Amino acid sequence: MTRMSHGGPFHRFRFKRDHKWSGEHMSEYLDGEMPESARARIERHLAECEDCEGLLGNLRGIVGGLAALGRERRERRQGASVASAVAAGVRARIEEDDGRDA
Amino acid sequence: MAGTPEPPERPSQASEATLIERAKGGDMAAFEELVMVNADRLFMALRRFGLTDDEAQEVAQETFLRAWRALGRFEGRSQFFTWIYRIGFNEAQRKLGRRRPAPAPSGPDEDPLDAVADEAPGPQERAEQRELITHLADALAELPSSLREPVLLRDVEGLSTSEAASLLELGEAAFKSRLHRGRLALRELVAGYLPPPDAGPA
Repeated sequence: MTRMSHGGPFHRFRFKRDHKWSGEHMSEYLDGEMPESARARIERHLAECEDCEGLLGNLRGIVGGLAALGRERRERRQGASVASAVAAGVRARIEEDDGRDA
Repeated sequence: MAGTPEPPERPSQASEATLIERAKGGDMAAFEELVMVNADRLFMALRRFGLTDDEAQEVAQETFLRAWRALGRFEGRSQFFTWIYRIGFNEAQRKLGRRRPAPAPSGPDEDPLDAVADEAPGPQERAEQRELITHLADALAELPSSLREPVLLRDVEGLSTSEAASLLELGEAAFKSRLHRGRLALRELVAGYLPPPDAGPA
């Protein structure tokens, strides 16, 4: 909030109102799911509020981390199914060999 | 979907040694467990050599079959995976050799085990991202399900807002509100592991 130094009572009132509103809608802004007028309002506030800028950066980091977690989990699930297929194939071949030896 | 169980982690060295001993004695179930634990990693390595998914799966199968037959010669002086990896590398060379005259995408003079070393933690950013991911996974488990499920569906599984909202039988506004509250709760829980503000977009 340190950048809010100028302006009279109306500016301070608007800043406080926008601050509360922006904090509640930052995810929608980050996800790009906001109508143009709302986006303009949040961007105006972001330009004068370090706290909200920090919140946006944190949320971006969290969403990026969660997406990476999702990729990892999908790879592990895929890996598990590859492993099952390989294991089944190996078992079939070994049993085939055993049958031939017997 | 939200409750999909995670595949088991790698077993400890001790249990691997036990499995190897049992497999040497002809216990195929024990060998199958060794395959389950090592197949994914071998598959990824084979893909890196330039094999397709199908070829990598076929070669992985061939590799484990050879390993089963040669298991008596495995003395435990190297890691089991290292041993498997060498067999797999030779099998991959054979496969690539049949496909084109100059195989070895990693270069003929390179030690095949260099690629194993590549899996060690990379630059600092990657280590930090790794740490963040680990803590996010723990933090997610701490959230009440009303906040966890929106985050899981939208941010982890990558569904759209409307898909995730309809799965949870919520209106979009209610969904967005829970998603945001879930992210804010995660922010509190992983505060120490978030990248600094100057780090730029993730």
